Amino acid sequence: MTTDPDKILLVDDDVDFLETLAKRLQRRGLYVETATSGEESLEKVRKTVFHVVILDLSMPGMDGIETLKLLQKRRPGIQVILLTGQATIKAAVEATRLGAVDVLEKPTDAITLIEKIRAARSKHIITTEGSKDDEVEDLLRKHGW
Amino acid sequence: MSKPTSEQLRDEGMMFLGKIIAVQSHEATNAFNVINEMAGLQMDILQDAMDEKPHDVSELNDICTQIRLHVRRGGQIIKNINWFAHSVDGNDTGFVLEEALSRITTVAKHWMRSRRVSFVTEFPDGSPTVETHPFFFAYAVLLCIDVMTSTAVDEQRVTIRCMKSDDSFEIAITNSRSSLSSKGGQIILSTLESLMTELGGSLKVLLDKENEDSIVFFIPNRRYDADGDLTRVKEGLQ
Repeated sequence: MTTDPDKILLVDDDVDFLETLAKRLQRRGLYVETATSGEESLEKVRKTVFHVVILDLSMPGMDGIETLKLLQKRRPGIQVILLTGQATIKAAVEATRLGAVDVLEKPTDAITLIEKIRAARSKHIITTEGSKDDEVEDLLRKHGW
Repeated sequence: MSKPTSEQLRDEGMMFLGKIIAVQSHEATNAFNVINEMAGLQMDILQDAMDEKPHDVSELNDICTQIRLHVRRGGQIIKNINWFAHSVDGNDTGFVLEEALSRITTVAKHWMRSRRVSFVTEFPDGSPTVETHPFFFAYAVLLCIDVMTSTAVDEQRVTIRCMKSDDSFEIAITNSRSSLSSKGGQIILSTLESLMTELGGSLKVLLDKENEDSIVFFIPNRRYDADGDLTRVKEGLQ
């Protein structure tokens, strides 16, 4: 099991909400960076490998759904949790179809959010190590070992 | 293209009012979300104090100030919802023009979050008041802003210039590009003309004047005269 610290990217256009939530997560041992727009989040993801992205659904310009699509293109398999003021079934289905691991309704408790982050992180580790195991098996088969 | 009747205007207006209230309640929720997180952060700091861990008490003061700011923000949004809800009470109301336009542009910014619109407003001196149907007035201004901003993809700045004379006031809404020439734009224009008729006023469209599109409303200061007849204002000079 990897011992990398959890690297989280928070994306929301409400700066006060963003900064306060970031502080609360940092106090609980997470490494957190922030972005106030979809465009900024894509730039950050290009430079840094984040384990989980917490993404607001409703933002000016590029909204959460559009940002999610582009995040998946830039970092396939990136774990994204969507935050929304109104979690409708339609939004949840659309987000899940596009690869989001969860959709949470605001206000969300920091403890609940951290549980979701840890769950997303574990899922990513299992998926990554699972696919690494497959690669190793393929390699062994190829060489007849 | 046929103009909407008074009844159609009222029906469409009700649907529009629903949209406005939904947008504003979403913004109010955002304010409460920030307050929730800040209260949570206060609890985190207090817990550190109780656990005798290092903590910064002065941060509590900053958080209290921020919470009050967002309570005020939420309060303003609720007042806007209240203003719009009462604007359909059915009676003409006297209101301060600058205050009404300030509420309307705040709602427009929230409604059109995806469009990155900012507003430049120019008001006459002296806080002039007018007496007209507040909802039809707000509806007209918001529809106008919608048609003036719907085609743009980058950040844009809408100018709202307001002038007042003894018997009428004029509002000019300007942007570098609008969708007035499109089919959708023409439908909205038809609705705007009907709204102006209801308000006893008129409108003028200026396309590509000095590389800008404008819609100018001419509205009487008082919708009904002393005899209870609908006043009519002639188009002013632009």
